[in-house]
Amino acid sequence: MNDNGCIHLNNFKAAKGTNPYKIVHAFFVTCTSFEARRYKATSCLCFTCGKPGPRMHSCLHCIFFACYDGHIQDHSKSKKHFLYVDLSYGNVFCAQCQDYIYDRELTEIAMSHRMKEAKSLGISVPFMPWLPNNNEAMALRRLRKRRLISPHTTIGLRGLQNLGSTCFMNCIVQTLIHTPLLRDYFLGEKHKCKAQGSGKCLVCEVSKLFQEFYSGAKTPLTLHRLLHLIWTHARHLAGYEQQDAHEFFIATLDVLHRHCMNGVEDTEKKENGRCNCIIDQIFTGGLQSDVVCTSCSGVSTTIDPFWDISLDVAGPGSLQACLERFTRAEHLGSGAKIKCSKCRAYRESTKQLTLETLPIVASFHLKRFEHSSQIDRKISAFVSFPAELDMTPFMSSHRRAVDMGAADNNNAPEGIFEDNRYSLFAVVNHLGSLDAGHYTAYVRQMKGSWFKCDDHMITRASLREVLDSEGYLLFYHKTVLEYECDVS
Amino acid sequence: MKMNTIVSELSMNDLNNKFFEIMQNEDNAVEAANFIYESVIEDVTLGFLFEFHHGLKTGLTDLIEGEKEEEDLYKIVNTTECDVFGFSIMKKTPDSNCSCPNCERPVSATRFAPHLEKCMGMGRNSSRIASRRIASNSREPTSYAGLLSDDEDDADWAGGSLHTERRKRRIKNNNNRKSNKLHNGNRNNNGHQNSDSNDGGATYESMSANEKKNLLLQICGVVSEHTKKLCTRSIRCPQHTEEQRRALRNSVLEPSTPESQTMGLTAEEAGSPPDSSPSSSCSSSSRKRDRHRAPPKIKNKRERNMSPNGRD
Repeated sequence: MNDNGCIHLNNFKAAKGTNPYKIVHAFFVTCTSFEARRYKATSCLCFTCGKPGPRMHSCLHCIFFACYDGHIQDHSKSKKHFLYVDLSYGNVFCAQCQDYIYDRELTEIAMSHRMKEAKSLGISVPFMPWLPNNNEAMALRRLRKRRLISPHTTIGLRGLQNLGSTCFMNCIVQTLIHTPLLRDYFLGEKHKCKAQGSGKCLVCEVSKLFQEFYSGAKTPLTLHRLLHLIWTHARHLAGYEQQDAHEFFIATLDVLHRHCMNGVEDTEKKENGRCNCIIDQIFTGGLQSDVVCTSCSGVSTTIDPFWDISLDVAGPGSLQACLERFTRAEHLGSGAKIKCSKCRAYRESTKQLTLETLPIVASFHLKRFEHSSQIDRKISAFVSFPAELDMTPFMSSHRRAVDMGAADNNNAPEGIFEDNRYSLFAVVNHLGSLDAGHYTAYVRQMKGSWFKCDDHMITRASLREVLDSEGYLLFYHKTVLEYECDVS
Repeated sequence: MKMNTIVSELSMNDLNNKFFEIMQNEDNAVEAANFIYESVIEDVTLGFLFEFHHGLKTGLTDLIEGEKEEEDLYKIVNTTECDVFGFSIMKKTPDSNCSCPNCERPVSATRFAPHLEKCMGMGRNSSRIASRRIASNSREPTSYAGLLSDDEDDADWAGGSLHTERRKRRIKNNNNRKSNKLHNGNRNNNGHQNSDSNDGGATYESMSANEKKNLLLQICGVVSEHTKKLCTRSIRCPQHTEEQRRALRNSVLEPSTPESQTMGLTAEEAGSPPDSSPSSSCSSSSRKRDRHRAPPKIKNKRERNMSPNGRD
């Protein structure tokens, strides 16, 4: 690719370096500090006509702002200052080439400024399109064929052979393979493993699986190595007879999480005490528990990591109602007194669970299997669940605001930039009774394109069909991803 | 610093005051709202155009798009009789063999999970497999290979070509019980030998009292009518009855020694599992009723969400 600017820009860079661009960009394009925002707000007016536009530009040779309505062109001509910068996006116009030109070095400055700007505002980094580096560009040039994911092809779909009642595994594997961010991670070959080729790493095995799903092959896959690896590393799964898809899901995440560590140096393993392996980055949220003493109103707060939320299904008719009840304050009663650190005595208290941080993938487990000393039964009660879910009402910050009576949208106390919308991307269903049953999964391959995975059989499904299904495990993916900036 | 020169005469405070003054007028507010709206639209449009221009001018778009692969090969089949790949939904998929990562034997894919469970010594069959392992590991001083019976239905191990003939004969003897479970009989044997591949002549007669005792502590030991070999399942093996086991121990061990009495007792005490009827408990199909039973979970109110516990 050709992003070496033009001869005029290169001559300018040779004479004056990139500093003029850096200053203009940091103050008047991205505003990397409060100071810069003040400068931009007060001074970005056309020096000729005094208007704020249209399309303000700044001369790269001297201090001169002007609009694109002829005034920046006039300045360029009369002063022979041929390079000027667009102040919305920071692109450089060359009056001699009569076009905007792109220079890799300047683009990289712009990208780093954009991250600094986000950090200074406390917001997530805006989406920036991928810019291949030299090696990547070379590879793209050498290998011209592109395989696309489209709603009309089977690329990304694959049936899974039933290995003797292993539908519990197949439906979880289908869910993982269709988790958008996991797919990007594995197809981007981000897993670097020290144990590569040993056949002992489950993450490597999943990585291979992604290649299989996107290979275009149509015959069902046999996941015998995967099953063996998971059983080897999760011995508590007592053989295949008693397998529950939910238990298998959690065990699989656990093994993946442990194996992710194979490729990581000890020093980078933990970032401020939190694991940042891909599994934890995608699936881990924080569950806040507030225990309030009824005598002194003292609050004791703990935050625990969670991978999924198990919800009681008896009673409520919708997922939102289940979550409402899950996050409601609950009086613990006289039978369950808790020691209050303030009163220094055992007191009755109330307890409330809320979501302190949300994972990128929110997994809900509807507790349809009831086991007690008297009876084991399956609860087939209908629980509706939406295609799009806003998690805001169940957040700790929101609940706190509700309690303080300040929940109207105009003065949200914190997290004004937060977007907690989620989209449904997979549903695991249990068909049949407690004693004899079968698992199937609905997965979303692209937006609006749903498929039913019944072991080796993959068929098209409609969103209606998905939403009307019973639902045992529900998987939601964050609709808008926020990127953390790693600029110090 | 040269920045000072470009700051206009207005201070932030002046700006704020002026802004509120102007916005008092509703017409101004409407005009301002429209201006902001149009600016945002313009900015977004411009951003899109720049991205497009950048892609074309630098050649990035062409580089990323490359040559689109022919999609016809992968078109989704849209009929009610087929799945998306065009396979009939009525037909079962053909079975295939896979190599067990645990024992490296070829195993029929559709019976892999029950095989692996046994092979890894998990679940209800673990004791049976474990006893087999003990039996095959305690080969000194006499090799028991050759006298161990193979008439349990282990058809999940696809037979090697060497055994096919013999297996067929045995199947006939067994009223074709297993004929439908034998897959890919002509598969390569990979050189490993089943324990019954050399028909040695060793019997209880060739063992010392101690050897017999040790062996019978671990396995059922009843001699098969068909193969004249020992049953290597656990002492709770449902294929044979307690009576058969006791009779065997009485005949093989010295009737009067204290060991034999203990032996009989052990087998009796252990008993057979309450839900295993001798005729069916070995076939995996009869276990179906237990499958997909969600395991009982510990009920604990304080741990409504207990899943990630125990990691880290």
